[in-house]
Amino acid sequence: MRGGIRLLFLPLALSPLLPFAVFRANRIAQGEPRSLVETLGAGPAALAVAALAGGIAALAFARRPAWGAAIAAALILGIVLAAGWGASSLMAGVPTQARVSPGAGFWVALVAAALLLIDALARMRPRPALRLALVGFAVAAGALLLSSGALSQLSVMQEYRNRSAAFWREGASHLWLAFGSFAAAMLAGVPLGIALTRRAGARGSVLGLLTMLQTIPSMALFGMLIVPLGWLAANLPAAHALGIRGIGAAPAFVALFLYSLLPIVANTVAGITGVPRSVTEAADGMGLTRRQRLFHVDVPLALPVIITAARIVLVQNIGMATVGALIGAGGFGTFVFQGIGQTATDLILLGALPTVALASATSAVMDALIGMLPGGAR
Amino acid sequence: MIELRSVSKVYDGVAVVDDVTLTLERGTLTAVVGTSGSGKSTLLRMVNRLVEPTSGQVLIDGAYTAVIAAPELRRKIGYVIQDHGLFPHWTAARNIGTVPVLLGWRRADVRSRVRELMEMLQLDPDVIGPRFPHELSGGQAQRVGVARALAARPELLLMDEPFGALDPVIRAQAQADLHRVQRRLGTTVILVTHDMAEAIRLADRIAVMRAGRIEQFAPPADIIAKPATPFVAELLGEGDRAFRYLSLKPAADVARPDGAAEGAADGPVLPGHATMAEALSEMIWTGRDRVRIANPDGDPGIVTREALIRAGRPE
Amino acid sequence: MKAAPFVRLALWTLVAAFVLWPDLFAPLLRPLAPDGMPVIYDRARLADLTLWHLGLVVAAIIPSALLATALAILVTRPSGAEFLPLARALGGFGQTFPPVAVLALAVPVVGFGAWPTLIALFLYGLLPVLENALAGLSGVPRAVMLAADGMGMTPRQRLWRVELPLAAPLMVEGVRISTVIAISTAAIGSTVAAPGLGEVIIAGLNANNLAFVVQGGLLTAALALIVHDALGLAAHALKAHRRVTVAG
Ligand SMILES: Nc1ncnc2c1ncn2[C@@H]1O[C@H](COP(=O)(O)OP(=O)(O)OP(=O)(O)O)[C@@H](O)[C@H]1O
Ligand SMILES: [Mg+2]
Repeated sequence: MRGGIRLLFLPLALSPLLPFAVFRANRIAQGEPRSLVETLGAGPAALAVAALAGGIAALAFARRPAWGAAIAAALILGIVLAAGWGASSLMAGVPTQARVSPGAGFWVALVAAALLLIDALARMRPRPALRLALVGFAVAAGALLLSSGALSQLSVMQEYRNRSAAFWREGASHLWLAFGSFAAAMLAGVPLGIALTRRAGARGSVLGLLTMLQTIPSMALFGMLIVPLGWLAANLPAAHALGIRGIGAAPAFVALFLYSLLPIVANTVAGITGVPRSVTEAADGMGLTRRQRLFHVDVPLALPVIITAARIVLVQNIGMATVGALIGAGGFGTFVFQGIGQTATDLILLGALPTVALASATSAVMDALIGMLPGGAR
Repeated sequence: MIELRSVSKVYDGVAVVDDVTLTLERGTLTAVVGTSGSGKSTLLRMVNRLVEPTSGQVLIDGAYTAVIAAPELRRKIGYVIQDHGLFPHWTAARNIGTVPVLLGWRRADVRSRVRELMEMLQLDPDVIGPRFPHELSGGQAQRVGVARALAARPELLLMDEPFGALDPVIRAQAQADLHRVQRRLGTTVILVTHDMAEAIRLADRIAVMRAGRIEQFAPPADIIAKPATPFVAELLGEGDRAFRYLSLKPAADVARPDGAAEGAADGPVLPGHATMAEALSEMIWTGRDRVRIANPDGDPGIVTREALIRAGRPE
Repeated sequence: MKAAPFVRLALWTLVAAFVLWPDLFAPLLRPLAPDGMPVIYDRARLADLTLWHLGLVVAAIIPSALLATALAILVTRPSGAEFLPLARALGGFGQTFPPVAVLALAVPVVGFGAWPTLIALFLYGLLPVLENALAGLSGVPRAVMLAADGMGMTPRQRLWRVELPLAAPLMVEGVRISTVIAISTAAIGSTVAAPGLGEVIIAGLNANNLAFVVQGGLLTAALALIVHDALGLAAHALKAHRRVTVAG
């Protein structure tokens, strides 16, 4: 690596000077910092520092971005493994209610290495297929790491063990909220967008209304939807039988659905009206019916733009679904808000980390898919 | 006087301008012609230091440009580019006033200078002046670009395919404008173009470039008469060389007095500045073998087809 | 979206009336409140909460927008070009972080109250402005940049007279996105004890008092719509004199 990006070597190199871990006698006790030597022991700490120095040197000499990316990824893996190992050694011989979480040194090193990785990846400009493969590789590596037990003594993982059933249950409702509302919005939004391309008059007011909806803060919309849905549940037995309640998943689902509409409808309109005139005229000239033109010409050409909206919506939904926990809709937000209530960082992380991972992976996969579409230059 | 001394520019190990030495006289118009990618724009930009030469020197009136601060140098040199590069957020008038404002002219001076230039280029200051670039036609935008380049009375004007985006009619008009303005102000002009006909029509000297090198640097007549290399000949277009040559010379050169022996040639009288090409064209079109041509000092002269054909082949 | 002037005026008036004299609207909300519960939020004045809400947003967004703009300028100069790919990638990647996560993770670092909210708003506000400013600055047509240099503008003159004015509409659009997100995140900030309108919604959810939820929700929504509309007007005014935008 060359140039100013090497500034990031500095925090990476200095990170061993900061406390590597934080030890707490129990879940909510005051944390005590532990240095790298205290965490790993003198010998392994020296080895870790040597490995870090080796990694930095290798980065400095890495000519190709691909090499830089590989080394940065290896560094990240090493830093995470060291944290897991350190947690095990700190937890040895202390009561099980004690907690070990990563300290400032860990975070500084991790963020610096992650920035180096992002920079290297941005310079690599990998082709879509390679990007998909990289995401798959990262997901597999993460899953392997978590299931191997190498990190099991870290406090986040302990939180997870204490509520693994709840974790998967909330995960499922998170996915259902985010992807279910997305699917519903696609089913409604794309036809609506297509209809709007034929009614230029209605276009402005519909898009204006959707923009307004999109502007309403999530907590406000989630909250206010309780009123109509509660009314439905109380007065319409069928709605009640479907599981619709004033509180719970229904208002969250509806809110996410409403938020999803604007990007999908607007991009469908933009994609179809953006089809070059020469193309539509050629299609008409060859005698395609309106319907044939729509399915064989307009929609395929608009697809990259529509899928871009899908990416925006999915990332937005995954993030916003966390807010649903406030109205009892479940999802990873449950842990975040519980964690806030108990000032338990680990619990917050248990909700936040999977959300971030899910959103980033989804975004990367969708980006790659867009890149793979013919004409989907990105 | 502009001197380029062994100027080269190397990108990634490739010399896109390769050891070019040229001397351009004050007040002349030099056209740089060549195929795409031959280094014309790079050569031009080394004159106002938008590109720094890898080696060699550029001198203007004997002074090394390398020692003048680049912005200061550029404010003294007009610069026109193909897509006109007008600032989209400024009106036409404000665009034209760019360099005077940078030079700190008084506001009233800027305003009167802008008016003067717009009138010279046949742009109505009250109509076109307050318009934004997207409200101008291609030809108007191009003229605003030229006016902007001339605003601070530069003695040197660099033009990089200034007429490239214009339709043939507007283009001919713009070329005529340039010719008029250049003769009137005595500005030294370097004009980069793809179009050999444009170069022949406008230039005092033509530099033909190929792969970073100057293949030939000579007045248009010499280029047509004696292309130095097959590349120059090819660029000229073999087919109508003779006609091009004829289009450079006034028909009056081969006119004889309207002697009685010739018999009275009827038909219209060509204007005195008509070229040999125009005279020949008139003969072909009207099916004659001789035409009359106006002579300010007396009776019209007469030009014969034989004389033209003889003149169409350089000795 | 451009609300017609009349709609705009009506919305402003209604919101002002609600904030200043909420009791006027009590009859409308009464059916939503459980019997014996207050209809209008009574632990703080709605006007104060509105001001706090706006204040937090403004206090976070102004420095955030300035920093993001400065960063965008830096990485689009030759000397900072090294960091351009990183800034681009971060701008896109960072937005996949849910604002709630940023907010929640600030709590362990700075404790409860207004600070975690300010930090989350500040950090999250950087990204849309950064992304839009980068798009605006790198979207200035090449011919225009070349002309600016060719006319003899110094790099600083080019930045102030050409690049920034041309990128301004997109940058304001970025600020608009940031601000709307900030209003939303500030509401959630009430779960970590930041003062603001979210407090009313949370209190309603906790006490099962839908009257609180609805009045908090309506006010927050109105605030977001008003600010969104106003910044839209600002962006529109900036490009009113030219149809051509410089979006990449
Ligand atoms: N900044 C640069 N970096 C690398 N290569 C460059 C750069 N600028 C120009 N070149 C290369 O130098 C060569 C000459 O470019 P130049 O723009 O001078 O050609 P030109 O004769 O003006 O072509 P055209 O007629 O198409 O405008 C081209 O091959 C071009 O790709
Ligand atoms: Mg060129």
